[in-house]
Amino acid sequence: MAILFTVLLILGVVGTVTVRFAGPQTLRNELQQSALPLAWLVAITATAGSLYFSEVAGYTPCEFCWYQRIAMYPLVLTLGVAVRRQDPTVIYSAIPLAVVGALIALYHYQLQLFPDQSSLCSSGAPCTFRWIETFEIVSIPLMAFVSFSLIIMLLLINNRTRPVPEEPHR
Amino acid sequence: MLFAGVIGIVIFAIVLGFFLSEDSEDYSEDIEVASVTLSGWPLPVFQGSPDQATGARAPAISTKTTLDETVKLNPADGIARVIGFFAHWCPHCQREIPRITTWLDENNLPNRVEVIIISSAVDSTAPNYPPSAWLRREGWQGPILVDNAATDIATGYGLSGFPYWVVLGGEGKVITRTHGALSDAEFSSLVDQALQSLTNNTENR
Repeated sequence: MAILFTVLLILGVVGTVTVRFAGPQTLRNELQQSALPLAWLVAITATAGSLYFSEVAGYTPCEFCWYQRIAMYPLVLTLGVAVRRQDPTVIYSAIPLAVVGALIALYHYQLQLFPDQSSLCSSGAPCTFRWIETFEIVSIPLMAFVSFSLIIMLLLINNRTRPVPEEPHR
Repeated sequence: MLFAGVIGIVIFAIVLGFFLSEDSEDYSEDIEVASVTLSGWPLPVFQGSPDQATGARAPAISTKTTLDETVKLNPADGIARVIGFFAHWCPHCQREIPRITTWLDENNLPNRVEVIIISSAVDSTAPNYPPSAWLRREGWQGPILVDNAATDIATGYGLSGFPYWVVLGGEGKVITRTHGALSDAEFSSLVDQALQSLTNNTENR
């Protein structure tokens, strides 16, 4: 399951960047129009993944996992409402939340990479160990970081770039 | 169209993931947790120096080893003990065990001083499970005592974090406690303190 979440994220990032910078104009327009719903989909998938890891796989969330959850879970609601209302101003609340989440995830990931910053594991759920190690480098906070980054990227695409109208057929 | 396509891929991948999820593996016949009985007053939680538990009598332990052998540990039996508590998922414990086994290979323990390790906070979903296999892989030669699922031994000995060390004198009283990764010199110091407690007891008699 972890591999699939990882592959989905990789496909999401590669697909978004490819379409945005090298895709045909029609696909770019479609990405701009779909960016908000896609950001919402990323938030839903990340939330579902986080709940799967804790409730189905039984991985106990550590302190920093909870902070990332606090940043990710509200995005499901705020982006969902924005999609329903077609409200691009959601970026003013969603991007700060996603940036904070991404920074916490990045800090958490480096804690896993360099656990010697402390010499002690708390007896509850320490943030230093990796529940999963997909492809030996992808752990849960790295997945969270990429998810937050993808959401930020999609929200910026949605807001800043106006769709280029296609030329009318003659 | 793009959005619908992406949603289709995500749903397909998640459904596929559920079907492809691996079942948990069966491990050897070693036991990783056991029924535990503590006799005596529990030690207070270790909160650094000065340690309130210094001089307090540690509770006696009845548990099992990973080989399912019953162990009754009476701390007041005249043997000084250096007791280490480890969690298999803790990276600091994972680095500590090879250091301790190397130290024990290169140094002789004094008479009437024992080093005991207790595997605690066992979680079959956490990394590096099972602890018995990990400790054997790292070359631990002695018996491995196991805590119960509620970590009663660790709690009764005042554990606040892994790895955790408690040094008991021959009369079962706490000489010192410490947590966090130890250097060779710090571990040597624990063994020296255990030995010193025996010497002091002999002189006092």
